[in-house]
Amino acid sequence: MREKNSGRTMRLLCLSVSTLPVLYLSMFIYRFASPLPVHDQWDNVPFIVSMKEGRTSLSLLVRFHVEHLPVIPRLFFAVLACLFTWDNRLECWVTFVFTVMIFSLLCWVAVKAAAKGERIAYVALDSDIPLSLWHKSVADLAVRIDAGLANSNPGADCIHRVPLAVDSVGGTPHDNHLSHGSRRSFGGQWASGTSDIIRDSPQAVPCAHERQDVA
Amino acid sequence: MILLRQYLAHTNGKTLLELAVAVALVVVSLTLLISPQPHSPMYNFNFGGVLRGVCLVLANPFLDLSRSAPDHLAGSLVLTISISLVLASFFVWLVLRGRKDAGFDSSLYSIGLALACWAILSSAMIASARGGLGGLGLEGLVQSRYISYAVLLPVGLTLMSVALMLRPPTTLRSDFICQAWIYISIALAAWSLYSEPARLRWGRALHDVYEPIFALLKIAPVFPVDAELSRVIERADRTELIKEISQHRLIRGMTPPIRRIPAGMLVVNDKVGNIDKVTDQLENGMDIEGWAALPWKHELPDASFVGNLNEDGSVDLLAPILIHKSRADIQAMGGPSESGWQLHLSGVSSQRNIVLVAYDWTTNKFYRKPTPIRTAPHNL
Repeated sequence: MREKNSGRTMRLLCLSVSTLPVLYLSMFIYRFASPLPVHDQWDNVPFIVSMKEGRTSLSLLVRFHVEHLPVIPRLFFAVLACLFTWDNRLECWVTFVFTVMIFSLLCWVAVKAAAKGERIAYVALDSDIPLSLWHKSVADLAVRIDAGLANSNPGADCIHRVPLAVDSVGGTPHDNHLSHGSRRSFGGQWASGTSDIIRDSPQAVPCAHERQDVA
Repeated sequence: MILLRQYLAHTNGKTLLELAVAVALVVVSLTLLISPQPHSPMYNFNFGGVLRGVCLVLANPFLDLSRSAPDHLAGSLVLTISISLVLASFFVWLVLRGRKDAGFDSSLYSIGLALACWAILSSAMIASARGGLGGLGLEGLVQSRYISYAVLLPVGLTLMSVALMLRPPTTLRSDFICQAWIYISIALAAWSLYSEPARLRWGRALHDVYEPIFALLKIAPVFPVDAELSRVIERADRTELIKEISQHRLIRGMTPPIRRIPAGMLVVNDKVGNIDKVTDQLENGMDIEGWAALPWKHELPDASFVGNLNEDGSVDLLAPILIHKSRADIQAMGGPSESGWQLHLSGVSSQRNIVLVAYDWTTNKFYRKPTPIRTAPHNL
């Protein structure tokens, strides 16, 4: 009887510990995921639009993206965008749900395969250790570590404030090397205040040791 | 492979069907993979680079190298090789042990092996595509989202270890090695947590980067800030894409692609904000300050503009409001924080009736103040 209770406590303890990475990951997505679609996500626009207009294009669905053919993700994102709106955070949450489902499935298989209580707990706990590692992968998606360019992803310490380059209303590009605090003209018709509205995107701002021309 | 082995061992019809489906999927996948892709960098194959890339990818879940500088990547070569060797050794040992102890009959072992194989295969593929070729190199490799699959190797090894431990005729030595792997995996996972504070800082910093770009994207159908948007939308046809997206209202908060707002889309409402102060800078234009809010929602508008009110009741948008600041007086009245704004308007050459315009995406309506401010002709 005592052994049985001890096994149950152990299982509960392991389950509680197992939920910590899940909670942590959900917190990371909640706090840092951005609705902004970036980089190759924009390649899905023609297909999303074709679905939205009710003329779903098979050729756009099965089009190669570099070397791979992301049919199922493309379909998923398009359906989500049509059902709700096109929001990268939603994609992050769906990825999160799938991750948790897959690992729950693995835990279930492990528990089913185990014969004795102590080992069930052992397996359940240990199966969730890799989940804590998964956190890094999914968290990367939340802030979109990506995407094909060597200089696209400096660390937080490498994100610099650089002047905002703006385009005119009519489309004339302006100098993007204005100093901080200066005013920028939007096509000579309008302008908006200080230059540090925008810190540069990670793609554009490599670390200081990589680029010297950053202000 | 697992199914083939099971079929050869037991020769049952159910396994044959599963085997046929698996083979068909593999054939389809390989056909798509090998189909002609003349621009593919996979054609520049560099075996040494691929091996190095595989080591980097396999060790990355523990070392978290995605945010590393190039120098650090090069410096961690020994560590990545060591971790990869540990992983590979356990993989080989567990496969041999599974073959000897009939581990393949266990579903847990089979799933573990499948996950481990998948991790190795995908690591090799992404390392071939990025690490082993000229162009992107190791930095490009560690920034790929596809290296995430590498984490399935320790997961698979853990499942294989547990499956072997649960089999009745386990030897003491076998049990010891399986337990050793489990403790090593726990230690490596715990070790990986050291980078969490930096990761949190990184997440916060990137979020702060993307937030203002998203604000620019929302007004981009009317006021495209191309130099900024090109940083997150590399495609040359981004202007057309943005217009299509806004026409279909696919991004929440994005304004419709019209510069002149017809009177039918405008709702006159005195409570949406105000232009408090206009400071004339003569030939340099004017500084305008005010506040904007949707009081019935206790929120900021999805976008705010300064526009010119025409005689027919329509409004020509002159400039978007991008700089917000907190206004204690508005907040005290129940308004949202950051409802204050400021704007510099320059180069307008005629007299204007400027008016504040707030856009609400949910209703797809623009709200404007009833009374415009008439600006002096000399600087407009």
